[in-house]
Amino acid sequence: MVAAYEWILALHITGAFLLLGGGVLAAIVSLLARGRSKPSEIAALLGIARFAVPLVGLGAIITLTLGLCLIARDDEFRFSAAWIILAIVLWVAAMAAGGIGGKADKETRLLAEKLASTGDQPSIELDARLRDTKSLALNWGSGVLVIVILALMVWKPGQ
Amino acid sequence: MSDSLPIFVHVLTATLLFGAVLTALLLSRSGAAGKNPELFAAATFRTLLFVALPTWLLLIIFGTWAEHAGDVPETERWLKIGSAIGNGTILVLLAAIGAAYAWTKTPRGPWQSRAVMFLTLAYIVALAAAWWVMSAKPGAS
Repeated sequence: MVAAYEWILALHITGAFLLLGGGVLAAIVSLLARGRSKPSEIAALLGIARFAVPLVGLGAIITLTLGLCLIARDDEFRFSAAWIILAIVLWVAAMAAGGIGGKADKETRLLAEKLASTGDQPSIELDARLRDTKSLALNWGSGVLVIVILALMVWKPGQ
Repeated sequence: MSDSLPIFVHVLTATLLFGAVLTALLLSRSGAAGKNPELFAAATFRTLLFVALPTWLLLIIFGTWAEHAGDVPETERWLKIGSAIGNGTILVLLAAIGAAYAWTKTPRGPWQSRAVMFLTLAYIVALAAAWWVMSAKPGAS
């Protein structure tokens, strides 16, 4: 028999799987797309990254809401604990960075689709967008922040 | 520190493995739909071989370390189930890699992409069962 707290914890961890798994999905197809030059192939690969959006969104909502629920139900944890406040701040920063980076990826995909339908020739602009350092920093930075949050959840510094 | 590090890497690699196998599932699904199967076959094979397989190895190494460092009784049912799924599903993962390799050799073959889809989906279901059992810990003492 599984108690309510363990159900919430398991769902909270499921949220982490969706959040990080969606991020991995987006990262892999983005790396695969960078290895191609034909816009139709880039568009086909980046099209798969669209599946990451609902996964990351749902995972983000589940981890935050059920994480707060776990704190409220467990006397061992307090909302004022430094590691919990830091985790929430990092969660907001990760979502903001991922949101901006994801928007740039969408624009890259739309450009690839447009080029694919008009001759499908390699494009310097498309290649530059795939290697845009600002967009890459935002996306990978968002992933790193989520991994730091996971580390805080495991170590619980100061607890 | 010694207790938390293996748990952290174990959980992290489990989420990475889920993401890698899910990516392979979606790539094979797109390839099975008929558009550009050569591209999707190569992408699926590389994802499974270079991301999923090394991640699985790290998952098992750090899971075993966590098991010993955490002093968890090996008789715990949730641990037995989780370990059995984690170790046993390597056969499914290897079969998926084999099918993906066969798909790269015959991109328009009738069964290869569907075999990868089926095997990766089965792997995800097993992985989800393992993470649920290991986080909810039913019957934990």
